[in-house]
Amino acid sequence: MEFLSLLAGGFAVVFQFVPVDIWPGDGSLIVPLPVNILLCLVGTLIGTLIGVLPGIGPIATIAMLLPITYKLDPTGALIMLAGIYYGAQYGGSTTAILVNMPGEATSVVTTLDGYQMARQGRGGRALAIAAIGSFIAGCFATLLIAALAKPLSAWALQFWQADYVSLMIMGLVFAVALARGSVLKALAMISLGLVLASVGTDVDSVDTRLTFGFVELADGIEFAALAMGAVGFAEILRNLENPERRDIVEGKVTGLMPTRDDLRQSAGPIARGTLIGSILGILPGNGAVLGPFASYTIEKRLAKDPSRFGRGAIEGVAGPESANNAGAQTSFIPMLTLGIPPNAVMAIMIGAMTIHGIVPGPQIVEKQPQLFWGMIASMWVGNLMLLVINLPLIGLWVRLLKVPYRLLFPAILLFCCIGVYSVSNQPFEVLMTGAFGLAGYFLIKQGFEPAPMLIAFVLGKLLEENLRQAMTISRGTWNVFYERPLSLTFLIIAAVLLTLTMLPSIRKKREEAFAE
Amino acid sequence: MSDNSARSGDDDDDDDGTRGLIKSPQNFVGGLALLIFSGVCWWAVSDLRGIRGASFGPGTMPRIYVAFLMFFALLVTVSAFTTRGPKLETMPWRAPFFIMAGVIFFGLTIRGFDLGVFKVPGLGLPISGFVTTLLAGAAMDDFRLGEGVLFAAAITAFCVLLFAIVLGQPIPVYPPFLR
Repeated sequence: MEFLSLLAGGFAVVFQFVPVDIWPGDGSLIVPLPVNILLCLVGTLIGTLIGVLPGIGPIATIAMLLPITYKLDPTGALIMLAGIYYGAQYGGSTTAILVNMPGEATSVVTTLDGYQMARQGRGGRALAIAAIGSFIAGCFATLLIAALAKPLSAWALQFWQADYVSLMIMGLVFAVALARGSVLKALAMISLGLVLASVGTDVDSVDTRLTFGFVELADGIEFAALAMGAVGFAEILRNLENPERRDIVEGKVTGLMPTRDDLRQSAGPIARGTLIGSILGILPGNGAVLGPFASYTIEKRLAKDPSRFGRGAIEGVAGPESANNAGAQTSFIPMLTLGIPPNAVMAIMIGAMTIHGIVPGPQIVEKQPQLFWGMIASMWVGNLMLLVINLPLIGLWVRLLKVPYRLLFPAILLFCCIGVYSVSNQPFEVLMTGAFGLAGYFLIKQGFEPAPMLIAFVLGKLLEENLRQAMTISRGTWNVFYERPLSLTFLIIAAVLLTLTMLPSIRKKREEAFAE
Repeated sequence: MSDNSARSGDDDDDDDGTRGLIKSPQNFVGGLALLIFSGVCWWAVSDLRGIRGASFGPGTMPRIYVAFLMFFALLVTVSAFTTRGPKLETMPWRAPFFIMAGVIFFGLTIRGFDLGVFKVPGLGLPISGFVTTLLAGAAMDDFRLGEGVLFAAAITAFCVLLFAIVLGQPIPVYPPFLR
């Protein structure tokens, strides 16, 4: 139970008062402010806002806000950026329930029953149960991160480069297994991500690779440009294809308090959703996105009367909403303890840490306890804030959602352009984002999902770095990969999982599960 | 080639794809596109030094990655002949055209861009942002010019205020002739 006292130390960091030079910056007005808690509030509010807005996600927002965090201390900056991510999970459900449109990729499932509940005049209760479920999931996930942090990072400190290589290969296989759609296409997208990752200057020889003569590509492809293009812009283009059918259920958002019956019906789904979401979130690959789907499928299987699903079953909101918030938070575990990002948002968080001079990896827990435990404690505080502030703000979100998409998306596009420009103040990045958007849109239309590509892009660089070091240390022999028990274990898991995924019978089942 | 699959996709009302040689047009077009891309990449990395003794050369990993891409892209392409899949979706032109026009305009004019033959002048956020928002708005069929102009002006003003003034981002605001 040592982690509880460490967590308490984290709370002290979150609530600490820092003297701030407010204005005009010459030290004439210095006020002690609880900076971290304010940043947490700002982060969760921005997160909810972008969660509500379809087409702008945490990746774009964090990329946009990165330059602003230069002025903050690292702990505060990361507390705010983390708040954006889990705040978006709360906001995404609002749009899903009231407008039948997922505000975030993770709230797709919530549209099924949440919107039906809203149409039946139970929108308030759907929103409330989504928030309560998310809060419970958030509390559990926070404790889980706290409990796992020390043992996992201590374990990871014993990793050799070869173990990291095998772990990342396992991660790539997970990304294929957890990806939606065809296995072959996921494998192709993983390879594409790896190829894109190798663009840029080779560290050892200073040769440029795959830059096609563009000086701007010498530092490699900017992750924000790739992510915002292939996911953000492509999603906008996708949304524009379907003329909008948005019926906001308004005026019916009354009765926010769930009834005793609602709570009784939701207790099981929330508990199961939290557990499933937490486990899937830790897995590298698309865990946080997959959680809600898995939860929905399970609830439907367990239900006495599955036909209620799709017609406003509260379990179909409670389970998936708990799962997505749990997954969003537990995805911090591999990032913080191993330095390996399990999804695109965590990759950009690693970027944020690097900017502040923090090297992500197992040593953070020991060397920067203030930052580490402060960030974890802030997640619990942030979840509490979201529970309290979310419901009163619903009127505001409804008004925002009434803005027609034809006005909304040009604004979102402009935000993204400014965001990607601000990453490095390079106009070239904006053009690259456009190109990635077009390519991503084309590939999505042929059934290729961009998510595995992004994960592979992130892991590709780490993979090459560690593989080359491992090979240098082992003097060019591959033995180390199967002689190290840990590395061998990871490789065996990867091989078994890949074989299972490729088996025709399982492949079929898997595709059916995703189709649901 | 892709024309062929698109046409055969249209002939067939069956949602499950075509009954011709190419059973899954999406796999065919997508796989072929990636295959071509991997070919270009293979050519681009072919002159990089490969593995030498114990240490990897700069070309080793890219070649492994490109080989993987080529292999799986080939499998996807081949699978188009063996498994049935959905037919090609229509490619709209209006939305991608105007969105890309907006993005490219922003990229070229926000700070100015040297295209080699021609140097695009920097216009700054108010002008670039306004035109980009307007162009993006035109992506939709029910675009109204009056409303679009008003909205673009409002959202650009908001962005200048938020990013350049409140947050103090180093984004160009004034065009060079006003600086």
